[in-house]
Amino acid sequence: MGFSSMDDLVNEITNNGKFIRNDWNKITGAAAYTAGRWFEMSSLAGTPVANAFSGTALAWQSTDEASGFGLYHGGDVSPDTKHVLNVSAVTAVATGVPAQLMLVDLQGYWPGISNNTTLAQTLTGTPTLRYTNGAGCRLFWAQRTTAGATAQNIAVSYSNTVPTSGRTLPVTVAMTASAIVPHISHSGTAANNYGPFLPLASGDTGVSTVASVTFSAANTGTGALCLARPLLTLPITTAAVAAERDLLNQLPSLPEVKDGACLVWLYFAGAATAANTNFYGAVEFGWG
Amino acid sequence: MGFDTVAALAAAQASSGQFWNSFVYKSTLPAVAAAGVWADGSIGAGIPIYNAYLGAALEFTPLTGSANRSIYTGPTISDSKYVAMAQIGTSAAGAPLVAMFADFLGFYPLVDTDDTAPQTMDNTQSLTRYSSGEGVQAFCVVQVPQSASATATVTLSYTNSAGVSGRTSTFGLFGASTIGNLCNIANTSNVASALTPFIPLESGDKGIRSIESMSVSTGIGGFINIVLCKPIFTLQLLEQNTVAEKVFFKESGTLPAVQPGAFLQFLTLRGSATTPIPFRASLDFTWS
Repeated sequence: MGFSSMDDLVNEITNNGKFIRNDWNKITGAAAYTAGRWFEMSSLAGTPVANAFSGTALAWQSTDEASGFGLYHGGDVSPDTKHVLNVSAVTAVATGVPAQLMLVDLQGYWPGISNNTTLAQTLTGTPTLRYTNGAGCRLFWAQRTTAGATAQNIAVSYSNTVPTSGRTLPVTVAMTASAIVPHISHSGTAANNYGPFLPLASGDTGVSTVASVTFSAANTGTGALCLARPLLTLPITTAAVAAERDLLNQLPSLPEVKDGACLVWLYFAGAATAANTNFYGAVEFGWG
Repeated sequence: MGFDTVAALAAAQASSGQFWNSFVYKSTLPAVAAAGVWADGSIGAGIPIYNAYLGAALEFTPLTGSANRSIYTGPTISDSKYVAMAQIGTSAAGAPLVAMFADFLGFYPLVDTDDTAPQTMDNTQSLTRYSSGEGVQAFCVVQVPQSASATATVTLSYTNSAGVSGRTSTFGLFGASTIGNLCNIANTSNVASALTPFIPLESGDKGIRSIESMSVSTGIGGFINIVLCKPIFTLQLLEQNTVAEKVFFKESGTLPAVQPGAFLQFLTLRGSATTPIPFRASLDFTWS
């Protein structure tokens, strides 16, 4: 399905009412953010409600629209397909810019992974994904309790889209010492930082599941390993000025939002971001 | 391989996972002393990491991208990737600014610009990408500061992309006291306003395969690296706190190709004298 023409799009969202707009807002909380790092926003206060990353430690936790902390986008529409038409965001805080927001469909996560062991931590559960074999799905680590000051690298054994198991990160990936919540703590400006997503092995186009996580050194702290499909990015350049993007006229056009998608934002701090910086905006969806 | 159809391009990004979103964050691009001065974006703290141009004097040293040594393009594949979208921005007073993204192929380190004797290059190693040299350009970047604004005329002998040796490029040097500034002038006018990214080529030539020797008319102090690169694309940033963005298929009808192993970096042209500025970029790569 989808839209066969501009006429069809206009007809679907006007005459047939296949359209929804949803406003959102998030506030960063008590900690300032360091420039050059990525942060996940689902756990921040605001609307939708904060994601507590609940679940049993090391066990896969699926997320979907009903999880509550993803942007509401109007429920399932199959056999139609739903698409993002327009997206906007703004901050009233001067240090909230420049920034980059990335909207992702969070497939789920493995919570309660400890930073404080060098043993391989076996992850359990079989992800049910909205993307066949995880095509286009990426991994990121969301820090859930503040990390200690010890430097450590992260290693992951994952299955790609084939699925071939035992795939590993192709490079050394450094976590950030003393990473705060909700830092994607392998992102930043240190030599072995990568963000927002963990790099994949040669030839891989996605991740279908993860078998284990291993750290090179023990550090305090815990986190969640998240599996998400990026949908779009939105730069915010100026405080108090709305960043807007028309996704009908830009490539890749009209990103598809799967039934059940759990839509959450990731945030890139282009400058040191003060505590309690607010962000708000809207996403418009149409389907047909 | 490239893309036969728009549908194939869309599918690569929408359903096949054949994409990677890459982010650049440089906290300090080199300062420039005047408008019109080009600077080497690979020299500066951040991601990708600082490029120190390590190599033996006058020996051609190929550059190959891996991990964060250059802009990370995603999982390794055996064929070219393509740039679907690119975006640049700065929060400092560096605009207007031109950013030219290029594959840095290799360099001749520690060329003495205080020595008027001919300096013969060692070409034991050769280009590993764009091996004929077609489209390959050269620039001179300050490695050890020179006497600011001192001038000299350079006579450089090179082999062109047709394999003809003994080709001559005559151009000016405009001394720079900042590491990372480009100091070549396209002609011998020896004024700062004539600074250009690349040295001029002899009539009819399409690129440089290797450099045989270089001599300067007058010592101006310092050392330079002569870098061979293949320009990939250019973006122009008009204002501070905005972004310049290009969706290549839509706006230019083509997708810039990035070869496997590319050492993707960028040069900047500043519209005014600036202290070191922060710079960020976002590049979406795709492949078939």
